[in-house]
Amino acid sequence: MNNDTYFPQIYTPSPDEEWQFCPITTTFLGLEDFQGKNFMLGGIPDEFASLVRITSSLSREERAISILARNGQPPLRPETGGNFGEFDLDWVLENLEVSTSYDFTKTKIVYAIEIDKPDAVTERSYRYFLTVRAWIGRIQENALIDAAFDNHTRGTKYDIYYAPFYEVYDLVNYEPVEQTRISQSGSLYFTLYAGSAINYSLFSPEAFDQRYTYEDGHIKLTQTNSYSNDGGFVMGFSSVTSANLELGLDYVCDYGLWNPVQDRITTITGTSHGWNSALYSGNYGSGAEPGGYGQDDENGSHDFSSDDIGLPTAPVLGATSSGFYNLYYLSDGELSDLGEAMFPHFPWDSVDPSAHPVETISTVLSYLGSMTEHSKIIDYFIDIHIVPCNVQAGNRKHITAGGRDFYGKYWNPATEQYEDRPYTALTVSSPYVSNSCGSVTIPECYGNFLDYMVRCKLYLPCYGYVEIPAEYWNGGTISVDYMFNIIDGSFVAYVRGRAKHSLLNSLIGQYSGVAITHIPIRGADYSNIVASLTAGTIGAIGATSMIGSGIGALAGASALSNFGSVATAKPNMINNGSSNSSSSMMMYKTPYLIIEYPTPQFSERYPKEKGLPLNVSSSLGAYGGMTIAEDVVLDGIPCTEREKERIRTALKSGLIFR
Amino acid sequence: MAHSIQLYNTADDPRVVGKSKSAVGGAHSITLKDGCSIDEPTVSLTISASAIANANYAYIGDFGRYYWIRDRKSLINGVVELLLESDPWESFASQLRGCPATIVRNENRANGYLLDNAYQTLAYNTVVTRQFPLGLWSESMILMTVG
Repeated sequence: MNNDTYFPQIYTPSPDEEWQFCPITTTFLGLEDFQGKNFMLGGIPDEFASLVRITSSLSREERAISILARNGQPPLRPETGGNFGEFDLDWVLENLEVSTSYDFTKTKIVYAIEIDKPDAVTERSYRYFLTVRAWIGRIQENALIDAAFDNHTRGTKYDIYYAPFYEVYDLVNYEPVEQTRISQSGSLYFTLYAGSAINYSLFSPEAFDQRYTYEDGHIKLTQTNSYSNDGGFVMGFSSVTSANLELGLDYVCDYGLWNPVQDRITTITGTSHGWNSALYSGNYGSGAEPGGYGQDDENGSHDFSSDDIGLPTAPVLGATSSGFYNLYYLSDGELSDLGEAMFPHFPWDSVDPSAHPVETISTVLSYLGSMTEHSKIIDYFIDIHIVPCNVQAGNRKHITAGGRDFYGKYWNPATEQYEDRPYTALTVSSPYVSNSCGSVTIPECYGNFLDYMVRCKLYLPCYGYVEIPAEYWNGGTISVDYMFNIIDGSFVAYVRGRAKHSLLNSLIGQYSGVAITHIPIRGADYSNIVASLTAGTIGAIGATSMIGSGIGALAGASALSNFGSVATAKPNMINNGSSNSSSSMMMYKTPYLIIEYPTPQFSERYPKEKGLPLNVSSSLGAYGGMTIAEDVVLDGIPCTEREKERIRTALKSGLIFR
Repeated sequence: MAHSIQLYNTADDPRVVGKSKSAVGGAHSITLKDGCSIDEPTVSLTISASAIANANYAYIGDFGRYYWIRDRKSLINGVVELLLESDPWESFASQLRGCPATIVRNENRANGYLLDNAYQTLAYNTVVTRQFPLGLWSESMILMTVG
C-alpha cells in the first residue's frame, strides 16, 4: 500500500492569532489515533453504510492515495491509488501506517459521505457526497483544527467549509463519469431536529429527489442562509434528509473556537449533535460557551434530543361498543318531534260517549294504552344533552328505546285517526370525537433572554387559563387539540409544544373537564342537574385555573434589579373564576394566548457603557472594547501585588481595550 | 539617582487600555521625594507651571510605568511638584491583553440568552394575544337511550 498520508506534528501558532473557527471531531480523531499508530477512521456508526475517503493532497486530482472504507462491508476493490478504492475498515485500521512527516499546507483529510443510488436504466450509480476536507494544522486531544475548502477558490487556512457535490459513478469501470459541485463555500452546522429556523443537513438520494431540482446536471438548493462571524462562516441548506445521513453527520464533526495563543480549543456545541443556536441569534452578537464538564475523561452525553410525544388515540371500547346503549345525533326539529311523540295530545274533547259507545270505549282504551306506553318508555331515555363538538354521524335509524323501535302517535287530520309515525335520527358511530384547534407559531420577539422573561397564558375553551413557560413554545409552535366523550361531555385538551431549543412537537399538557348542557326530560332529572350545578360537582372546571398575572413570580426576575419593587407592587390578575359543565359551554370557544412581554428600553451606547453579557474563557484583549472580567490570571505582569489588585478591581467594573 | 519623566496629555477615559496620548514637551529630569512609593511617587522637576498646564499623564521609563498626574504643586524657584499614581493597565497593556480570564461582559461579543442584570425595562409589560385558527365552533345534540 502506498502510504503517503501525512499527519501533523505539533503546530506552533502565531501569537497574533486570536480565536479561529475550527471543526472538532470529538468522536473519531484523537491524538492517540495518530501518534505511532495506524490511522483510524471512525465515528460513523456501523449501521450506516457510509463510505469514508482519506486523501492526502491538495485536490482530488493530486491525491496520491484514496481510501474508501465502507463500515462493516468487505472490500470491493482494493486499490492503492487513484480516486476511489474501497477497503474494509478493519483492513484500514490494520494496515495504514501513520507517517511522521508533515507538511501543513498540503495535508488534509477528507471525509466523504457517499450514498449509492443505482439507476436502473443506465446501470450507473449516482453517488452523493458531502465532502469535508480538513487541513490538519494541529491535532489536539480530540480536536481537528483548520479546514480547507476543496474548491478552486481556496480560502485561508482558517476557512472551513464543506463542498457537497454529486457524482455519476460507473460501477462497471468503477470510475467517476461526471461530477457536479452543488454548493459554494460555507461551513455546515448540523442540527438534527426541527424547531430551529435553520436546518442543516446532508444530502440523501431521497432528499435530492424531493427537495432539489436538477438543472443541467446541477442541483439547486432550495434555500441557503449565510452567516459570518469572526471565527468562520456558515452556509445553511434547508432540506429534509434521511435519518441515516443526519445521524452520520453527528459523528463527522463538531466545531469550536481555537485560540492559538493559548493553544486551546473551546467546544461551542459541547456535543456531537447539532449546534448551539444561541451562538448565532440574539440582538447582541455571538460568542458563547455552552455545555459543562465531565468526570475524568468522560463528558456527559449532552444529548438534548427529544422524543416526539404525539397525541393519544381514542379508546377502543366505549359505551356504544356494548350495543346496549344507543346514541343519536338530533337536530332541533327532531328533538321537537320527539317531544310531541313522547307527549302526544289525545283529543278527549272529541270523544262522544253518546255516539257509538263501543267505538268510543275502544278509542278511550286506545288512548289510555298509549299513555301507559309512553309513561314507561320515558324510562328508556337516558339523557339528552348538548356537547360543543361535531360528532361522527352514522346511518339514520329508528330511535330505539327499551328494545324496540320508537314510533310516535300523531293525529292524521285526513283520516281523523292517530297513526304511527317512525322517529329516526342519525346514529353516532363513535362516542369519542377529536377536534383540532390548530396551532400558533410564535417567533422569538427579541432573540435574546427577554424572550424567556415573558409570561404566557393559554386559554383553553371550556377549561380556562393555563400558564406555559416560554421554553415550551418560544421560537416554535403551540398546538391545541381536544378529544370529547360525547356520552358524558368529558373532554381532554391536549397542548403540544415545539420550541426553538430541542423540544419537538410533543405533548406538554393535558387538561380535562366537562362541557355539557343537559336537557332534562324528567322532573327528577332537572332537580338533580340543578343540585349538582349548585354544588359544583358536575364537571366543576376552572376552579384551579385562576391564573395570576404580573412578572413578580417569574423565575429569575428577582435577579433583575429593574423588576424589584415594581413587580411586587403589581396585582395578580385572575382570568377566570370557577365554572361548571354548563357555564363552560358559554365560554369563548377559540383558544388563544395572552403573552406578556417585558418592554425593553436601553440606551444607544449600552454595549459600550455596560458591555453585554458573555461568559467565555478568553484572553482579556480578545474581543476589545468594554470588557468586564473575573478570575483573571495575571501571570507574566511584573507589577506589584497592589497594582495587580487594582487591575482586578478595575476589571470588575470594566476596562476598555483598544 | 536622577530619573527622567515624559509628560503627556491624554483625553481618554482612565479605563482605556491603549490610551492615545500626545507628548507635552520633551523628557525632563525629576527628583523623587524621599520615602515615596514607586506606585504613587511624588516627583519634582524644574519647569514652569504653564508649560505643563495641559499635562495630565506621564511616563517614567526607569520604573516602566505610566502615571496619572493627580496633583501639581508649584513650588519656589520654578520647581513643580507632581503627585503621580500609576496606571497599571496601561503600563502593562501588552501583557494584560494576553492574560486569561472569564469575560463576563463585553462590548463586542455577547450571548444574548444570558440574563442581563443591567438591562432596563419599562414598568409596563406589552400584552399581546394570539388566537388559534380553529376552535370548538360546533355543537351537537345527543340522545342516549338504552335497550
